[in-house]
Amino acid sequence: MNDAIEPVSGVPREEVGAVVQDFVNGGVEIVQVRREIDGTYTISAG
Amino acid sequence: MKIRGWLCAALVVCAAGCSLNRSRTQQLQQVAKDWCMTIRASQVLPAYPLTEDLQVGDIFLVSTPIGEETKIFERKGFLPLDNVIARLYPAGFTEFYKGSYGVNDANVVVPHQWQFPNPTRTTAPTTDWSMAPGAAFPSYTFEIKQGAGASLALPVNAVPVGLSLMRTGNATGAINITQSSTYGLPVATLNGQIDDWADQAANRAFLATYAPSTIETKEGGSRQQQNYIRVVQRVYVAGAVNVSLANTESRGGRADAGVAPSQNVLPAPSAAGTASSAATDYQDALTALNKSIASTSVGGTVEIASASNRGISLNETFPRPLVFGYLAFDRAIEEGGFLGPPIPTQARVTKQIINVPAVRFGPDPNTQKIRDWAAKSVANDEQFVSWLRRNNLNPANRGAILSGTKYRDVRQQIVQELGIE
Repeated sequence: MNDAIEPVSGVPREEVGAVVQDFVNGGVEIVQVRREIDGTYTISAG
Repeated sequence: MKIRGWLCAALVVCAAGCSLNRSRTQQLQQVAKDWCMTIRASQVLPAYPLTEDLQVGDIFLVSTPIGEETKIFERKGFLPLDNVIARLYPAGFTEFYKGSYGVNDANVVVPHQWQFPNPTRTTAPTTDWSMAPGAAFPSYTFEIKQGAGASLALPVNAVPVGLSLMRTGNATGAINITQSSTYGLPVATLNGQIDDWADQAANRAFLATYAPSTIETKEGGSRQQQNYIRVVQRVYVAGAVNVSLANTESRGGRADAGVAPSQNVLPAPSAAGTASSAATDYQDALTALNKSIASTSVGGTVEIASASNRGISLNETFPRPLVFGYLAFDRAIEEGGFLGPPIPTQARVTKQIINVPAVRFGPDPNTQKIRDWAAKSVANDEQFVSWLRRNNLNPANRGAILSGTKYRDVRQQIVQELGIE
């Protein structure tokens, strides 16, 4: 099993909440949300 | 009334004693932690206490949850290495060192040729660690206050000996590791050998007993217990240390470590008063001081290098070099005793993020189907997590699995196998 938690890139604004919730449900305590230059978001484990 | 008075007095004495003990324990822990932090500052995990019996290929079982282990690492400064489960004698040293450092016999597993040179020697140096690759570490400075019992906290004998000779309990000091060596193997070389070891039926069965499980917490909830194996890939060995102590007490008055007390570190100069007589006096004083510790339990390992009435410098040579630091990697133990990929221990316990490429967002109808189904009940969610584990997927990676483009086939499989409508 790969232990790494992969960031998700290209997330549209309206989907950020759902993806963050998936990270949280997976047990990730700190979730980082970064706005990219193209207006999408990258969500990763903090 | 008299009894009440005695009771009060006893309580006061007890409270004072408890407070002193607590303070002493705290200071001992702090000294141990400071030592470890110096080693950690060099990106090396400290081995505490120092030991000769730790080598590359040693495998430990780690059952402490990562959050708890991180807390222990922060609080104590080191990670307890108490559950050794195997010692591999790994191959690959000759390829890695290509004949350097005397590593040229594939049949000899490092560090045996440095630890036990052939033929055996009875006089110093009894080992060949001086042939091993060198290493250097920054010096460690510390402060000792009256009653702290530094003799117990610091892993070198020269400190209590120096304090005893200065007849003080208050001092500042510095420890410098003067003979340091290191050896190791790349993760890629070790990892395959760990797989081979884990593939053996008895080892697989043993590891399987440590597969992930759900355990109940004290609060009545539950959490996933993930166990790891920790594999030592490099060790750092110290052959000798230099300890410098400066007396910060205006009036000394302490003796321990079995050393006969002297009034001053150095005796009064002779009446002649010339430069040559001063040098002779100094040399004689050093010889006398060295003789005074020769008869103690540390005799032969601790030697006074220089001394003045306010300070002392001692060289301590360990009878056999000791491991004081190591590097390791961890592998998660999965269902059936299979092992996950190697992750550097230091990165894991210091919560460093291991850079991995991002997954492109690309949900499909199955994304929401799985989310809704898992949210319906705890049982559904547990079934989902269990499916991920069975299929060698990390449940903590749920964010990527549910909405990443590369996991579309996985989501389809989840929907089919779990019968999600």
